[in-house]
Amino acid sequence: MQNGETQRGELLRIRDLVVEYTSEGETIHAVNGVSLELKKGKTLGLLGETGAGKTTIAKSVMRILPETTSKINSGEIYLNGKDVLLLSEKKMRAIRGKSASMIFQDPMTALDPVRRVGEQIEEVIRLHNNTGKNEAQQWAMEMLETVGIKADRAREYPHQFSGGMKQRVVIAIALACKPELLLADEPTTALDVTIQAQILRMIEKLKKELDMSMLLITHDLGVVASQCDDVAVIYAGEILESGSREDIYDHPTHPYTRGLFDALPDINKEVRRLTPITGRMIDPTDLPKGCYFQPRCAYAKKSCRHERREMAEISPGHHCRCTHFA
Amino acid sequence: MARYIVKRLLWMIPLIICVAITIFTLMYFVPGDPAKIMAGTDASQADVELVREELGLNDPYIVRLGHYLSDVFLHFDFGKSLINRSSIGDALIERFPRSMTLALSSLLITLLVGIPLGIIAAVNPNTWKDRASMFFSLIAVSIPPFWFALMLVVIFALNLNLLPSMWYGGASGIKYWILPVVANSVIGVAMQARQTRSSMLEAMNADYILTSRAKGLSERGIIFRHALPNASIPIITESFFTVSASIAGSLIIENVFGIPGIGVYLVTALNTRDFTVVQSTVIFVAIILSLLNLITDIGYAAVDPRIKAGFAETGKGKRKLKKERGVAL
Repeated sequence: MQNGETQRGELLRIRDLVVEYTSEGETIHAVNGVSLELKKGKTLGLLGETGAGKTTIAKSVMRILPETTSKINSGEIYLNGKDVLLLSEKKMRAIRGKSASMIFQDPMTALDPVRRVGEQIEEVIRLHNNTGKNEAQQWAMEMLETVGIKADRAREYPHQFSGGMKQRVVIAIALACKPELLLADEPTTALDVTIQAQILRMIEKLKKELDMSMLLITHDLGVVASQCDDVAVIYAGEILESGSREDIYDHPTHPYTRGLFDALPDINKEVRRLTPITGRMIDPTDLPKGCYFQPRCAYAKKSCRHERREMAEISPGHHCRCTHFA
Repeated sequence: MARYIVKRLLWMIPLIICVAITIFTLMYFVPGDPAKIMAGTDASQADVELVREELGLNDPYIVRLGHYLSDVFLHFDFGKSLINRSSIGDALIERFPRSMTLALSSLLITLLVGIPLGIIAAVNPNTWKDRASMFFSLIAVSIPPFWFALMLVVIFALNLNLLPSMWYGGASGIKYWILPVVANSVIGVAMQARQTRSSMLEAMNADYILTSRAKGLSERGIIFRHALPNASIPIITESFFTVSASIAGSLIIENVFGIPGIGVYLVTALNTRDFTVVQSTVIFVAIILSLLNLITDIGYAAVDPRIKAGFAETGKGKRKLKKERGVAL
C-alpha cells in the first residue's frame, strides 16, 4: 500500500517526487524526493522559506512546470488514485481547472489584462462544462458574488480592480468548476495584512462549502496555524518534518522547525531581539552529501555531514528527519 | 473615445500648418529658379521676368507663404505643377489609390506571413522551427528591395512568363499587383516576424498564461486568446511602419514596376525642381501619415482596455468615471 494506489480517504498522494531545473548549464535540484498525503476535506500546509521548492511541487501536481527548463525526474503523483504524471496532455487538461485548481501568489499579474474579468471566469466554466454562453455568463456572475464582488463588475477589466479584488477573481476562476483539490500557492503573500485575513476566511468558508481539500503553500506560521489540519515543513526540496498541526506547533522536533518558531516574536515575553536561523538556504545547484540543514544547524554532529537521514516516525503520524530532539 | 478622436483630428490642423510652413521655407531656400524652369531653357531674360511676375515670385517670403497657406488651407487648392501646368490636387487623387493599394496589400501580406512566422518561432523557442523562421527573416530583411524586385521580374515575367513585368497605360487587374506587392512586403514580413516573436515570447512568459494553463486551456487557446492579444501592441506599431513606408517611400518599387504612385510623383518633382508639386505632395503625405497615426492609436485602444481608459480619462470623462466608481478605485 505504501507505494501503490491512494488509500481510502486520500485525495492526493505524492511519492518520492524529484524535480530539476536547468539554467545556464547548471542543474538546480528544486525538489528532492518529496512524499506527502492529503486527506479528503483536509488542509495540508506546506511550510518553507523562499526557494524551498513549494511552488514547484504544486506546479508538478498541475503539470504546468515550464516545459523547456524543468524536468520531473522521478516520482508519482496520485490524484484520486490515478498517477497524473502518466496521463496524456489531453486528459491532464480535463483535470486542470476541473478537479484540481491553483491559486497563484501574485494576483496583480495572474489575470489577463486585456480580457474582462467575467470572460476570464466564463472561460474555465465553458472549458469544463457543456454550457452555452448565456449560462456561463450567469454562472460567472454568481461566482463573483460568491467571492464577494458585485456581479455587475463582470464587465470590467483587471486594471479596474484592487489587489485583493483581483485575488478574489483568481479564486473565483479556481473554484468555478468546484474542484476537489485546491492548490493555494501563497494566496495572501502579495496582499496587505487586513486583506490577507479576509481572503483566508473566505477560502476557508468556500473550502467547507464545496468540500474541497487544500494544499496551502505558505511561509507564514500564522497562516498555517489558522488554516491547516496537517503541516509539512520543507527545506531545500525535501520534507524535514510532518505531522498534525498540533504535532508541529506543540512539539516541533526538527532543529529547523524549532528555529522557525524561535524566530517568531512572542507577544507574552519581553524580548529585545529575535533569534534568527543563522546562514542562508543552501545552494540548490550544489547540495551537500549529508543533511541539507546541517550547515546552518546549531546541533550538527560530525555524522550529520556525511549521513543522509530518513524520515522516522517519532510519534503516531508525526515524522521527522532528525532525531536530536525526539 | 469619440471626444478623443475629435481632439486628435483638431490637433492635426496646427501640425499640418507647421509642416506646410517648414516645407515651403525649405523649398524657398533650395537653389534653382522656378521661373526659369517654367519659361524653359532657351527663354529670354524678359520672358523669365514675366513668368516670375505672373507667379508672384517677386513678392517677399512672408507674402508668398501667406498666399500659399491660404490657397492650401482655405481654398483646398494644392496649386499647379510648374512643369506642365496640371492640377496637383487631381494628380494626387489619381495617384494616391495606387500607393494605398500597394501599401494595404503589403500590410495584408506582412500580417498573414509575418505574424504566423513570429508565433511559430515564439512558441517553439530555440528549436529548428524558431531558427528556420528567424533565418528566413534575417535573409528577407537583408535583401535590397530593388534587387529582389528585379529578380522577381526576371523569374516570373521574363523566364516563366506568368506575370506582367510592369505597368503600362490602362493596366488593371490583380496580376499587375502581385510582383510589386510581394517585392514591397519582404522587409515588412521579416520585421513583423521578428517583432511578433519578441512580443509573443514576452507574453508567453507572463503569469496570466500560467493561469490560463491551470484552467485547462489548450496551447492553441492560450496562444490565440491570451498571448496574441497581449502581444499585439508592437504588432500594430510595426503595421503602421509598413503602411507609412509604402505610402511615402515605396518609390523604388513604384519605379521598378512603373506604377504611377505618390513616390514616383514626388521624386520626379524633386528632380525637375517642380517646387509646387514637392510642397503639396509633402503636405498631402503628412496629412495621410497623421491619419494613419491616429488609426494606430485607436488600434492600441481597441486591443488594450488600459490604453482606452487612458484616452477616456480626460477632462469631463475623468471626473464622471471617478464619480461612478466611488471609492472602489
